Amino acid sequence: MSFETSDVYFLKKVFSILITGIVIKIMDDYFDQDIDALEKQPNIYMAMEYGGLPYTLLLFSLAFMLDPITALSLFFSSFAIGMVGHLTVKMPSGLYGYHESIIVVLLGFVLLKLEMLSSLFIVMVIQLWDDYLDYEKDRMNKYNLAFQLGKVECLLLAVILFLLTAYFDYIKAIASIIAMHVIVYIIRLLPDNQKPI
Amino acid sequence: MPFDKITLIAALAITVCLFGYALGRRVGKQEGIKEGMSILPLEWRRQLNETSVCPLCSLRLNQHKNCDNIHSRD
Repeated sequence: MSFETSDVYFLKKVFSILITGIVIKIMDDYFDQDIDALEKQPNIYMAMEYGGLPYTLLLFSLAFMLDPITALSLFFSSFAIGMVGHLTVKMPSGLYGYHESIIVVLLGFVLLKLEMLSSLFIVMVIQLWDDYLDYEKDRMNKYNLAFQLGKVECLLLAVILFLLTAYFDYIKAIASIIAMHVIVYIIRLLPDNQKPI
Repeated sequence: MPFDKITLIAALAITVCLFGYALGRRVGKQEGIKEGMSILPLEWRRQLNETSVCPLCSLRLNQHKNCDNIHSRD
């Protein structure tokens, strides 16, 4: 059995998406560590203790080595979408959330062109799907999109954006959804002693 | 029909459904609130007549403790 160039490209892209997904999850957990400690939710960043930053940089370097355009576009998109809940908050850079969001999206479009668009769409899909699943839990959370838009609207919007991602790049669309579930499974595997007390 | 065309048409079709659903839901919600507001006074009156208990403050009728006397039938 021999691998062709397209198989290698496919595998590199899939693993790059998976590893970037883990990096994004760690970044998300870094911001949520106080809330997760209060709610006793598993948190990868806290489980890694002081190793969080070096491991994250190492993982992102690996993802970048496998497929630089995919890794970078997904990271830029998650950064821009992650700011949406904090648009009017002043960031440590001195800029507001929406400034940073717009700058990152523009930079992404200039550097990565259409790849950035498909990445933005798939990150939105994951955000909408996550909010849809957390609807009951986050009922009173005004940042939950399922609560703001409505449950069915949230689901339909996620389906539309998924189809648009598949139109631009079907490997990214399918691999990202699989990666999301793999990451959720990995978090469940965290041993009890690594979960916050 | 190629795969990309199918996904694009499906996305377009679901977008139309989404707009219809979102608009219908919001308009329906407003209509429901208006209808409910118009039925509510009648419904309260019916409950008051049947049970002799005020549905707003849960006080029984013809009691001197009634704070504003609006339910007294003396």
